[in-house]
Amino acid sequence: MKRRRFRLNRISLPLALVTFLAAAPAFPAGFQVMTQGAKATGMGLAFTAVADDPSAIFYNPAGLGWQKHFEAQVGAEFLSKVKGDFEGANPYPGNGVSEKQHSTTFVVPNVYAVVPLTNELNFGLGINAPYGLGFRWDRAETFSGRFVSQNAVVQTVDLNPVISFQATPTFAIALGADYRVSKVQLERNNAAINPLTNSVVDVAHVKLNSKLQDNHGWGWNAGILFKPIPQFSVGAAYRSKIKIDYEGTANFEQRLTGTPFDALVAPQIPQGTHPVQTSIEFPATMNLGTAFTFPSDFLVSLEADWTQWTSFKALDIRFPDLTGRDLHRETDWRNAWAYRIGVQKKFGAMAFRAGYYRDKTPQPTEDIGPLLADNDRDAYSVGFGFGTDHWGIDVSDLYLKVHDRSNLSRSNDNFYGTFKEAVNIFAFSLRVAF
Amino acid sequence: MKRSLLRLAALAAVFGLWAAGASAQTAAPNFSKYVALGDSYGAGYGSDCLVAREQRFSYPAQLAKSFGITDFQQPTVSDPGIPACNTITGLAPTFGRISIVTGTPTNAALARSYDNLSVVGYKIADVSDKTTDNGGFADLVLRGRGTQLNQALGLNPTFITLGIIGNDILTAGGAGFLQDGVTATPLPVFTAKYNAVAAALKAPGRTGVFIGTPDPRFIPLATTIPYYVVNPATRQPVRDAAGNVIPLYGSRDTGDPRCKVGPAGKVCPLPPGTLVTLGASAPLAALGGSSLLGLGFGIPCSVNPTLPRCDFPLPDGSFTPPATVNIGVVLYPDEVLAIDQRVRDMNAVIKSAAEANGFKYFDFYALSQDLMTNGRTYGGIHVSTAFVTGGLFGYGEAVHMSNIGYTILADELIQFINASYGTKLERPNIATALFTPDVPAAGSTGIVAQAASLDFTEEMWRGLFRAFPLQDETFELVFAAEPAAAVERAAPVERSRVIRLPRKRE
Repeated sequence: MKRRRFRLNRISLPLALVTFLAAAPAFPAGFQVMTQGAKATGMGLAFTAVADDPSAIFYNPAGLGWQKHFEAQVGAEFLSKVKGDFEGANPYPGNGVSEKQHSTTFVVPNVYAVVPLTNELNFGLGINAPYGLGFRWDRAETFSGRFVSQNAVVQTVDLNPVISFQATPTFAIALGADYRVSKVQLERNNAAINPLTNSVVDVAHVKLNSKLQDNHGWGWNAGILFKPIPQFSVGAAYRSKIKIDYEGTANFEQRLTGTPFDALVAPQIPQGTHPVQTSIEFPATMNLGTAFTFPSDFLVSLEADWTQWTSFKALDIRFPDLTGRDLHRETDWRNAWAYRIGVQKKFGAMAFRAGYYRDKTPQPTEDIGPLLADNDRDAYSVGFGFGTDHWGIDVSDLYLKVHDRSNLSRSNDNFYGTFKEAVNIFAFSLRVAF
Repeated sequence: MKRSLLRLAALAAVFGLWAAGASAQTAAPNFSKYVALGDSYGAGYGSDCLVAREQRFSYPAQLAKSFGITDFQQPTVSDPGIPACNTITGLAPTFGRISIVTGTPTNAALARSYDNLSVVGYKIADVSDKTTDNGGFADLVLRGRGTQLNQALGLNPTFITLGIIGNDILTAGGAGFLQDGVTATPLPVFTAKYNAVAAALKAPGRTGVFIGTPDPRFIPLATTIPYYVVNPATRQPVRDAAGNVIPLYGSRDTGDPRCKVGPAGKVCPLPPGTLVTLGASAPLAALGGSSLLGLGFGIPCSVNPTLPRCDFPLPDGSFTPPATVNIGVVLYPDEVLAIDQRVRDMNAVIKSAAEANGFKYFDFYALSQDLMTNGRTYGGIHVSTAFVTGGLFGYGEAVHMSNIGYTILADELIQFINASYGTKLERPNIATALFTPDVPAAGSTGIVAQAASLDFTEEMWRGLFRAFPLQDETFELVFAAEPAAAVERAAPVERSRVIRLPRKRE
């Protein structure tokens, strides 16, 4: 029996990771995914000063200080791209060019557990995917930006154990470790001038892929929550940056033109598989929030979140066994703020929620392109909860409208046009407490 | 009273400042009638021919499109072009004409002057003085209606471009030597002519752009062949035992200790910075179909003693009075600097003339250096100045740009106009140029492959002097002359000769 449990554990962790990874690609705020709980999502993610369910492990672990029972919560977000369009402009790819991103619904699960150790100490464990990117274009072989990127995927899974300490009935702090595993996939074609026609042809397809087990990093997180009176709280949460050095493989495959040019190109393409390396420094974040509970159980939560996106200055891809193939892309992202407001009105066991936030983009106009095109976004959410002290269910829906973004004046990729994007996120959580 | 006077003075001062500011502001351009004056670059001359499928990419045509002009008329020519366009016939690379016949003008019946009056081979003096060239490009464009300048003025343009970008100096690069009156227009003559044309173009309400001359090192003609020996099979430099490149030989005594006496006299290694033009690799009929480098000119016998002309110098250009131009293939660093300085001087003249007459000066020199250094990348597609593989240049004489190159030039001009005049003209569609194969229209007659060459053909070399005429078109061109006296000493080689090729007239 003992042996059987051991085997189950050995299998279950990788299985859980694979489950998360399969679901991780998401829609970026930068490429941050803050929707990690249905209740918070329903309140426009203004949850740092609320933090009253197990998803507090993510939003503000100090909130565990007020959670006095063993609790477990599972949930998922269903992220659907409502719109992912691109309208081209001169000089490249030209007026009239119209492209679409691949439309898929991604499922991003999350699991949280809270274990009271003493009256003051709580242990929590969260598994979620706070960063992800899925920027994949339809008709990849004819997509006008295929020489920059056809498909870009960043997947992460965080294991986040935390300890909270309620120092006084009104004040708690928490500290946690953040172990992140991640993988990256990038695909694009290579172009060349075919001398026979003095025009552009596709000559190769390059796919970069990293392995999960080779790519991980450590960070930490902390939170404080102060509730001087039951009707008012103020909280802050911090999550450190995490740098991950990726090692993976690059596969080069020649695209044949059916002309004698193919023979000329062939020696220039390192066909087959080669090692590749890159690094991503995921940013530090600071969340500051305050919440007021007015009479009749009407809760208003306000929040400002800061993300240190300056850590993402450049994307460097290195090919250790190939000369002259290394890629360097200046990204030059800026630190960004998001401003959130959420409300909740309770009617007995039922709670109705709504929220709004404005998320400022960290990505400068010059950097937007086929690899990633972000912009300021407005999000509107509604949610519903029903539960008791022993169980609860929350559902919410968040509509995220990314402002249309044009780069007609400047583009590092010299790829001009207007990117249009909207995302709908449906979330649910199930909670049990003992 | 005193206070009133002060107020009046202050008012006058403010009004004066406002008036001065207003006069200093750039007049808003009126693009309703655009006329292009210029040379082969303006004509859209790419593959050593005029042909409609390339003319539509000329920068004047693309500017007109951005201006919203729908009736911009050009002297279009049907495939296979006039003369029949050059093309790449193999990836060695080899080149050849696409046809044994030429195309025909398709817009000759236009009852007015063309809006694009650019004429292949035009120097600044031609703009104001030339009315015919006995059936050449000038007649194709001018059609007996007067000079380029007069026809332009007759169209009463509101916006003009003047793009005489190289024929007054770049011929020196092609001929291998700079000599005023032979391969270059004397600067005082250029200055006077340019100023006169600029003054004639000045008119109330008329704006426009004068285009400067590019860096002479911009053109693949002068930069494709390095100054050292390259293995033609691998295209890699041949190195000595110490790993150093082995310079080609030229005839100038540079004082280099490696100079030696060869069969044709003293030869010396070409110093770094020397440019060797593509003419060195053009198979010449007069050399039995071999090229200078193919025979061994410039190549030390220590590298390949089997070459019949090893230890012979690559020919340097020269002028033999009264009328013989010996075309060379070597430009020594001091000659490069002299040509470059002349280009800079000419650009100063163009800039001054533009500013003095209410026009803007477009710095093609800076653009050419930027393109040489960085090329351009659009959506991950990189283009460069590399001949054949870079995309920026056509398959003519390695001097003229391709459809891609001309579109990039048009794009730069439009950005310049927008920046200069505060306009928001739409930039051209470079994707069209990038993805449109520059090949003859279906139904064109078959390709007539010429002698295979690694880089160049005699026809392309000759084409250079069609597009970049010498100062006096009666001069006799002598290509790849071997010093007769030296040849006498070259016992193992068949009797050589000075090769005189009468200049072709198209």
